[in-house]
Amino acid sequence: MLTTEVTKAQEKRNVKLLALNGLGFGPSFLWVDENHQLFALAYSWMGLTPEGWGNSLKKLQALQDKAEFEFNKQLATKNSIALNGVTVINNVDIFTAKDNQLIKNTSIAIENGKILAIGKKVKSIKADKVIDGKGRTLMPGLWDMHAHIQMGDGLLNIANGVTSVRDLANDHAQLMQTIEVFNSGEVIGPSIYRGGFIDQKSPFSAPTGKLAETLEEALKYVDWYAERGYQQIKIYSSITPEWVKPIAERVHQHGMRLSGHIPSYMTAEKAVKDGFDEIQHINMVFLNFLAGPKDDTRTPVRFKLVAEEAGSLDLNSKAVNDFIELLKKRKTVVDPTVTIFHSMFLNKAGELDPGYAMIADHLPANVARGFLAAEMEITADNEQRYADSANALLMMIKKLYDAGVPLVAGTDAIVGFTLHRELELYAKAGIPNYDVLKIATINSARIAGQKDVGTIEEGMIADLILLDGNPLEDISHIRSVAMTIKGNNLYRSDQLFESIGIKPFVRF
Amino acid sequence: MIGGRGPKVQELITFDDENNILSQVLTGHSYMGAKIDETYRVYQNQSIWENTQESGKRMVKPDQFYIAADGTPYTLELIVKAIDRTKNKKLELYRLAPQVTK
Repeated sequence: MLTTEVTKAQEKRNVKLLALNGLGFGPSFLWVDENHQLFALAYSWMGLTPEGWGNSLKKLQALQDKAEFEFNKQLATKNSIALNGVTVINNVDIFTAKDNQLIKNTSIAIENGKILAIGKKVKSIKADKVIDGKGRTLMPGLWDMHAHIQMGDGLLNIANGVTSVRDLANDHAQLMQTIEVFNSGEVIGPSIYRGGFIDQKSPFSAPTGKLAETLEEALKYVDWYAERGYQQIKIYSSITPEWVKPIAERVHQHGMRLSGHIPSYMTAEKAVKDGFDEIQHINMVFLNFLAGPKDDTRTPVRFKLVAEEAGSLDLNSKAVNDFIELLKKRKTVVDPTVTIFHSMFLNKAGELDPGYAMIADHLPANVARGFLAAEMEITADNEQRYADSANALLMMIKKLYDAGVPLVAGTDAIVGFTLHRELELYAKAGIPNYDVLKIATINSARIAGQKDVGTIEEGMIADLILLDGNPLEDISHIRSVAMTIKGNNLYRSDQLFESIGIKPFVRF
Repeated sequence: MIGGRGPKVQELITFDDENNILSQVLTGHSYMGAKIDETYRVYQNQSIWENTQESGKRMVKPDQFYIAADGTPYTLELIVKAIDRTKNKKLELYRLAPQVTK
């Protein structure tokens, strides 16, 4: 039992850490006092204590992080299958992410986390371990390009075939710690790429990353992140529009990319012209046309306005086409996270969220029940309008794709499962399955600046997933992950899922 | 129009002498505006609940627990105390199996 003493001026209290199992994926932690009264909840983005005891949160979180690390370390010890020497996988169809079709019935050899050979060459290689691929499909591991990763998310990513994650706002120290234990294999998890988060101090600032009060301070934070090896900077809704240009210049001087929410009281068009390399969230694309000069998009207006009006925006208008042309010309990346908005606009209280209905009965009861809750108030009056808007989001994504605007797929919601849904929605929008898969593999890797991962070719990093089915025929087969190879380890998805209270989707 | 961060929820709970929940009433709205209107009551050994997503009733049994659908963080304390009263430190959660639709 982990107990500790916390103090407030002269007052002292003994509190203990409890872990509740069964509510979510893995344990839910809370701090209670001697009478089992809730004392604190400690998360990196927020915390809760009785009034005046907030100073104790740092200490409690450090202790809780340690407990969480120990728990995750045990899971890794139990569920990592070490690959020593050469591993050969026979009897697989391979989607290389270079071509648009499968290499049928072939073999692959890997060694030291790298792809050694594919096809006929494999026969002459002496294997230390041979795996029967059972005619399943092998493809590069998936990329989640919009996450806020915690140590406990690593296993669920790997179970769902996600081998690389781009983090777009986090506590720096916690993130670096998580990366360290994922890379060492002490805890199961993907490779992480980092976007450093900067917002301007306001009543609506996001409670993470760096908050600047002046432009000068914001530029200093850009330098700070650059010194620490961040690949990009993400800015947020409260940034003063006039800051964007100088921030972009500083970001680019460091060889980093600039992305983010479009700041409130700024159009996306202006943000792109001032140096945005990437736009987070498809609603921000719509707000370019829907938000008036008085709309404060730091608030839920940025959702509500799009829910109300996206469906009646003429997507073939000159204004829309000109904007898409601008994105194309500047090679501006769009990170739609459309699953979030699609669910938000469609999900009525009491009905299973369409984004998760297909997996609900595999998940812990409390998680599945959460899918019955609505986020917006959907009534007979607005139901059709919101549904039209949900559909318009997909039509916009298809238009962006057709124009050649690069897309990346992210979650910003449930680890792994939301990425699968995101890819399903791209396919539903009309993007061919092979390109949907490329978005989540090679394209993401290249946008993240990585040349040695994201495809199945000799010499590439062997981040591989084995799917029961063929995602070129049915994109939903992306959900049927049987195993993931990451680094020098193999992970069985059925084992990983069972270790955190999820009923497996396919057997190994 | 709603503004600002976070949901607005008011939660009223009454207990019997042994700290079992007799009633729980939640009202307010979610961050994005969905209505919160939830009641849970124990009456003559039956628990009856209704929220914006589901409703139901069942006999009250030890080692079973209703988690508020739109509850506040205080829910965690209620769960801990309920677990603490069980012999095996385990609770069965009330659950309506979600209808799986494709």
